[in-house]
Amino acid sequence: MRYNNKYIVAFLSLLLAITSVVAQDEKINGTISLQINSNDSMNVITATVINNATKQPVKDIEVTFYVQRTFGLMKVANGTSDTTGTITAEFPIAIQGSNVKGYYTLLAKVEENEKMNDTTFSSNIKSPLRFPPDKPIPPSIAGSHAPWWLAITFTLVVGIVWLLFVYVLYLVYRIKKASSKSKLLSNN
Amino acid sequence: MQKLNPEIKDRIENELLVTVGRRYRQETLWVILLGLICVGGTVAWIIQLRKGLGVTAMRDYVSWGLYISLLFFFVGVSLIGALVSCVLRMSGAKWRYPLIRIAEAVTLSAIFFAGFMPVLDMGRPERLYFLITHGRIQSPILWDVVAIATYFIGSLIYFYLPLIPDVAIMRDRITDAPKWRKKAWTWLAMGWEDNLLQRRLLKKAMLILCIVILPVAISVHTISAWLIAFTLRPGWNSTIMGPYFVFGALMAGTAIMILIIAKLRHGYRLEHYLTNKHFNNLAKILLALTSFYLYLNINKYGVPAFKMAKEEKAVLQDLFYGHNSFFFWFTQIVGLVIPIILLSFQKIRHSIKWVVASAVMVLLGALINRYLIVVPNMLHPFAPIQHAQPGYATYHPTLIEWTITASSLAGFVLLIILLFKPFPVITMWEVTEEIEKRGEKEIGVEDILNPQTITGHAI
Amino acid sequence: MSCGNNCSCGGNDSRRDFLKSSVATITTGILGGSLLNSFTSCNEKKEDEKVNVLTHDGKLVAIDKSQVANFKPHISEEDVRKGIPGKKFVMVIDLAKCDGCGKCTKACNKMHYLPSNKEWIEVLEMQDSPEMAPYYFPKPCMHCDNPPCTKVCPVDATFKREDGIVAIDNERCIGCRFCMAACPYSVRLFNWTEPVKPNIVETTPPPEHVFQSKKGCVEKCDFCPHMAREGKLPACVTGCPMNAIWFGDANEDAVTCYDGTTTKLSQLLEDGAAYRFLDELGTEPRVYYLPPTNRTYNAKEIKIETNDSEK
Repeated sequence: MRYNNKYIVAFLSLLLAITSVVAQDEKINGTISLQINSNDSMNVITATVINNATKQPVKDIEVTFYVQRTFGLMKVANGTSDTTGTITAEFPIAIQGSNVKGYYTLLAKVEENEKMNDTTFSSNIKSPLRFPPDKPIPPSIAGSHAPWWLAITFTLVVGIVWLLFVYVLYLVYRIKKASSKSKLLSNN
Repeated sequence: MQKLNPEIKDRIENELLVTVGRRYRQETLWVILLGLICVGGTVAWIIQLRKGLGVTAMRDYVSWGLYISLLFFFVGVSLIGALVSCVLRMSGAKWRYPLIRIAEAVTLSAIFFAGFMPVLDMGRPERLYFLITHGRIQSPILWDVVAIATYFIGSLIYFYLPLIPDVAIMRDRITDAPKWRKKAWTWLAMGWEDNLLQRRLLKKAMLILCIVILPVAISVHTISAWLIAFTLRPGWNSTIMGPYFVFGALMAGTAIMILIIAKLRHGYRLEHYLTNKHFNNLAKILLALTSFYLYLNINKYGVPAFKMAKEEKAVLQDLFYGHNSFFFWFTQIVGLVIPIILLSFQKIRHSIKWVVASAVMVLLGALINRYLIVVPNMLHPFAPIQHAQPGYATYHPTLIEWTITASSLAGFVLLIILLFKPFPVITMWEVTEEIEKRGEKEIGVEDILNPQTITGHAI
Repeated sequence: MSCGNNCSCGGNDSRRDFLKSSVATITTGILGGSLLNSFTSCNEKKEDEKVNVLTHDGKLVAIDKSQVANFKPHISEEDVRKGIPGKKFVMVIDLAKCDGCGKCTKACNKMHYLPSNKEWIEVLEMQDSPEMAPYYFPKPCMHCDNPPCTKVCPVDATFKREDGIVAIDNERCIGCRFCMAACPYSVRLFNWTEPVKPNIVETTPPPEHVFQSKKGCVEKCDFCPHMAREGKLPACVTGCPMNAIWFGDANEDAVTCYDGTTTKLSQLLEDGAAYRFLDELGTEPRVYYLPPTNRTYNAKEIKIETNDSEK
């Protein structure tokens, strides 16, 4: 397997950013903590849903996991919390990073849940894949700058022709020099 | 080698210098007429500059039209200089001597207008200098610009070199000329006094230029061909384009050469210098070139026609029995087959009239052919043309376009006439030198050693 | 809508400005929140809090969080010629879903202030042979990786960016129209007459202008880079109610369509047996097509218009 990595554990910075603004009476506010382990081909998410007020785990909450992409969220897994408030889900390890450093953001979201307000938590995960996935192909003649071989050939060909033109004009100059008048002048 | 009788040499020079600065009525009328057409073209161009290219019939599908067709025509015609000055020189054809200056004048004028056509075709001509400040040497357009500029400069030098001794003759002989003219002649003559060293230097310069100018000339037209061959369009995406353009060009150039020397022969009374031999030999060259061009046409159209690949099919059908079939078959039959048949007969090759008639047919065919190379292919792209607005999926050139096209052609002829005016049309020194060396016959001049025949029309 | 990309909290503006500066590289949790558009709560601005922001040239700078909203990075001429760092834009068009309504064209024309006679994305009716059922074929610029058009441009007015976009600089274009002749897809349009200028202020250099028309210059579909810089989809994608057009980043291996569904690009191409238009020409288009299998519309009703030049 290409990614024979050890466990990569990414942790979460949760609290500050993300809590629902207005707590509604019937619905609880919760916090999701995420732990991600990976094996050969899959990332294993262990998420725990905890009630902010009581600090107790919450059961039967459906959590959906997304990967943040430039133009949207790509759903990768989902699950429902058990009595310990824990959700275990898997998604493929082969997810492209979003940037040169190879990180992407995993989101755990509670959406339109009856018991709990909408909540989102995120974690940055390092992708085992190369970034960018394909080596950029040099644009050659389609690019903005001329390839060296073209620049050299072009300059050489045009240069030689123009040098010969200059030489021919030099010969014309010598014709002028070769006239007897010009000799007389130079002698004087 | 027999030394030419100084008296005869004197007569030759006298006779050839007659045309310099002299006004001919018919010629003046032509100059006025062509000048008027050019004025009309300038007005049309100003309108086009102010209103944008929308005044032409070119639209998004046919984005190149008459102007680019004409560019290909002019670049093509410009090859005649290289043919006469280089190819004939290298093949040792001595009859070329009286033709050299005429050919170079045609070349100069053609290449000037070839450089002008893309400017006419540009959407933003005021940004022309971007080619220097932001030029990308990967682009064939830049190659074309450089090649045209190089060929123009090269042709200008080649026009000038054989002129040096002639200008010296004018400087020495014509004493009653205005002062500024004498000054110009003195300057242009570069102190020429026909000494051995000067002769050796001049011959050397001409030899070098002759060798350089041929690849330059071929590159100019090959690159023009690449403008269309480098695209992926059906009909254009072909490797034959370079040679196809080059030989089509040599053919058109030869036809124009025949027409011009026919006109000069009578207009300037050069019957002894531009003789049957020249017409006969040029006719032979024209026969060879038309035959070869027909062969290239069979390859260009016949090979894809046999396969009838999906996209090529639309273009070929258009040419063979579609909208452009009349023009297509005209270029093939009137422009090639009939001239080939005509010129195959020795009798016809010896008749100036018939040679001229064949040249007219070839030239017409060549002009239309340029249009056929450009426009029908643009009307058959890979992606189907659908929901096109009126006028977008067809091409019927507007009055503005026709005016500019006509005035470019008029300007081309006008510039040739103007180039003939300040100098003798025939290279005097080379012709007299070669007559001394080889006699009249090989050079193709007639009856000029016989003093009695000259007197008829000299001064 | 089930998509997470839509936010009901009022933080949209700050997110937009923010994303201009940082194309999805966030290291702290706080920023994680704010990048993930809109999950930041709106009233959480603390004056003394510093956040790290990735600028357009890849540097991390710490600024007051309250300034995030006002942080407008300068997009230089060099930036628009290079493209958005780390991106490789790609489009997938699902021909099975396209019912030829033409809303993509309308949305595009609206965004770029084009008159109705110009179409940057043109919906063609295709029929490969008389025996085969016709289908609709939206044709934007293919943004080829081996672009025939940029090869021939004499002044580098049209160029290939590192993010895959083939762009045009209309302050550079000389109007020779060689690129139009070279394009086998006929997507390039020329401004034959003076275009009607909208009353807008452009904030970017010309290649990323929203309104690109200029008399005597060439224009075409530009993959809406000004939208991509804000993390938004091009106009045609958000204009397609059939979810037939997907747009995304090949480096991220993901594409998104109208309703926000984001899917793995490689999977979509594999499952849908994707192909590219005129792939045999070697232009390496960045637009993929999914063949028109199981069409959702009655294909028999499509009337094919034949080549107009025969009229």
